[in-house]
Amino acid sequence: MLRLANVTHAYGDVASLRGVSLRLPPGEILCLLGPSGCGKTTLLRIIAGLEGDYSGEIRLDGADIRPLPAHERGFGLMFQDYALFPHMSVRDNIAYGLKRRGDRRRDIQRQVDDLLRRVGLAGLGARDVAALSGGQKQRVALARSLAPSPRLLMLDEPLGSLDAQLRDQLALELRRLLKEAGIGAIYVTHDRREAFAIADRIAVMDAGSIQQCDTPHRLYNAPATAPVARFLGLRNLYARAATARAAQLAAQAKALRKTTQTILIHPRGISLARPASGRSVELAATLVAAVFRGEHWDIRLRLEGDLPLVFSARELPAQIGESARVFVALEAVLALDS
Amino acid sequence: MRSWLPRSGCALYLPPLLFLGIFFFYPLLALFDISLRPDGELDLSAFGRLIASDYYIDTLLFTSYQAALSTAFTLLLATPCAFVFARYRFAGKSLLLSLATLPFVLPTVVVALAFASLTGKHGIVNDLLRALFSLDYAPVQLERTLAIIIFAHVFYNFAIALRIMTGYWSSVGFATEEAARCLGAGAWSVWRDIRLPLIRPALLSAGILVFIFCFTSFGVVLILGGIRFATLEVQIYYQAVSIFNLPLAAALSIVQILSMLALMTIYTRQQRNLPLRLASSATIARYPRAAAEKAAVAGCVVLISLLLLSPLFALLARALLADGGLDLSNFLALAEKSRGSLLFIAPLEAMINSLRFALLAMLAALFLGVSAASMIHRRGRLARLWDPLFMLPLATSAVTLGFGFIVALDEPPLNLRASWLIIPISHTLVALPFVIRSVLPAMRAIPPSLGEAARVLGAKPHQKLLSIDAPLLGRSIAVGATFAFTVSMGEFGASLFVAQRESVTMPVVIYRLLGDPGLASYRQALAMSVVLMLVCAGGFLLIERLRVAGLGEF
Repeated sequence: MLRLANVTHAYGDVASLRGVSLRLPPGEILCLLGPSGCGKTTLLRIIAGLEGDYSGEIRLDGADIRPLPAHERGFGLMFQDYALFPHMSVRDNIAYGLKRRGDRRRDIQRQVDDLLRRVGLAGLGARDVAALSGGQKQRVALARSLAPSPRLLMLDEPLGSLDAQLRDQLALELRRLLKEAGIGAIYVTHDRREAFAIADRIAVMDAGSIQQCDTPHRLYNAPATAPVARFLGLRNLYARAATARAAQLAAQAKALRKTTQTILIHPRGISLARPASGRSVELAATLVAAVFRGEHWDIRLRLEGDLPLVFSARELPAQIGESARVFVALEAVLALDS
Repeated sequence: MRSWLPRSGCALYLPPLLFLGIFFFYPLLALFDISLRPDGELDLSAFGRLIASDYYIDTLLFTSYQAALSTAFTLLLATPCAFVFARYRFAGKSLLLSLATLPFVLPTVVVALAFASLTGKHGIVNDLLRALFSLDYAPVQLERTLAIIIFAHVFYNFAIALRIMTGYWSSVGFATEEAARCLGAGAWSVWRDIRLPLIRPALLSAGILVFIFCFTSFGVVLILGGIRFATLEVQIYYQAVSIFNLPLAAALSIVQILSMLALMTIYTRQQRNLPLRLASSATIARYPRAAAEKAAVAGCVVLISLLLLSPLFALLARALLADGGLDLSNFLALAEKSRGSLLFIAPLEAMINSLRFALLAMLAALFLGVSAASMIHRRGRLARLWDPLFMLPLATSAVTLGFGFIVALDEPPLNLRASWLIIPISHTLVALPFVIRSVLPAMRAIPPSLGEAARVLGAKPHQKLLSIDAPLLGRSIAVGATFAFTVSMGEFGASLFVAQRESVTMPVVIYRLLGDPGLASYRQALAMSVVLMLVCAGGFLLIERLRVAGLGEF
């Protein structure tokens, strides 16, 4: 179990981490999700032992690991640019950590062959790393960081430089490999789709602190703050005061906590037909725009009081410019902290 | 926490700083002392008188004048060639570019002798003309003229200008001029309105650099021009060695240092305006199509061959051929000291000296250069200061360095004047910037994540150094070593000051042999120049082969 308590760090005068605390049970995959510059890579580097000058506690199974230099921590780190050693073959890259550990030559040979097979690169051991495709490099980097059986694996945007299609495929594969190896992992990304595909839990970071940490499903369905909701791609966010302009919405909002500043209408509760179960309200709206996406339409409505509402649906509720009816389940109207 | 050496390695940073302090700044201060405090008290009047004298102003004017003329001719010839190199693909292009760069690494004495072999009174051109037209006099009289000095300077600096401008031109590309053509621009207006304005930054950069080289040119002016064409450099040497007017020589040195500082400042400022856009010239260059394009390529090839290769071939021919056949007797004579020579040792011994000193200087420059480069590479406020600091020896003329050495290092605790050590030390100083400039870009090209990956995978600092840094820097270190060796073999200006009697090096011996009366000495000089030329050419070829494309700043 890895535990971080109140980790704080600054680059010069600029605070990059503000009191970050988190815990990682053995074998769990935790994603650090956030926009670039939110401090997620810095946090990773601190855990790896590559960044000094921070305050706070880092404990692994109860033991303080702060005094340990990077090469004695026994953690794996997979770099965004892969950092493959350009003067070594695929095999030598993967064997590097095993050699440092002092394994015997024959054992190294066997382990590297096994890893090559597991990441689907069997037979490519003698290749020059420069001759590999992006996806192949990514696999070598993964194999190299898995080779010394690290106590914890950290991955810094490992799919960032690949194209979207390859990314989806490799994300699934990565999760399978990590679960097979049974290694706890911290995975840094700014792509929520990637995070959803890989993580057991996601910690959403913003401006150097963790906003919310939960399973992908709970996080998406119940974001705690507006930045989290925005970062997860939820768009129907309203200032509480503004909701007063739409009568039904205001009535609903009144029932929520008084401290709430932001109201979110979650897309799961928006429909064109009255839901069969649960309480819902009917809102009058005008269809402003619609984009055909194949499986569905992306629809933009204007509610009373000029409030926009976006969601997707199988059919068009009306012609553009005409009025339409839309139903919102009351359980999908959420109160957020700003 | 980006580091090339473990923290304890900080001790490694001391040697380069100490070396620079003792062998660069201390001699420089000694020069200031001699000039500004001739009798132990600050006395600026002598310096003031010098600055105001016609004699000094004439020297400075002539130095600038010949440098400006040389620069103008270099740019005039190099600009069209740079266009051809950037624009067209043709067989043997990279070979030609390599050959064109060869003169840059050749020692000045060799170049001077090569020009004498080509255009001298008994040079190949005159021999040919005499035979063709049955003349009994030499029709080409270039010895000891301004023309031959400028010719030699163009020979030397052509490739610098060519490389800078070709690189820039390839990166700028040719889309704009194609657009201009579609808008109705003719060949002349394309040059005037598009091409020249576009490459102006590169033109300026190359121009300033060539001017700097010509401004500090020593061996070429001394040997080809003689004292009549005294530039600042030659005057410093003449005043210090022939007339022994040390205060005046020191004052001239100070003027030289200040001029160089000013020029280098202008140059670095200009460099900053030169955006380095990386575009491979291969993708832009195309085969010449129209007849005029083919003619331009052919003209460029002929020009480079004539201008750059003919002196070298003349030197080879003069040294190796006699009476229409191969004759190696010139080389066999190197083991003997010719009668009547002012030399203390046989030329062969000088060759052994040169080799010994070059190896020593190479090792020293490597050790100091790699430490200095890792020091500069470390992030931090000081790093920005170290970089120009270690480039200073490059901006100081070799003659000034040599002069500073004999002024400063002639009394205890550092009495090196009579020791042969003073020669490899001076060569190390001259070679140091070359090593740093070879290694530093390679260090900067290694992503820090490689070292971090090694550490995370369990590599201790020294293991990371050996398994990651050393192999990745190997090539650039080899390039630096070759540079240091070649620079040391050909170093002339400083050696002329510091090399004594038995410890003279090849370039110094060649110069002395040229001053000796008699054909025997001249033929020894020829043979020795060929040996030196081959050594430097070999070093140069090694550098060209080792250098990773785009890395290395020379």
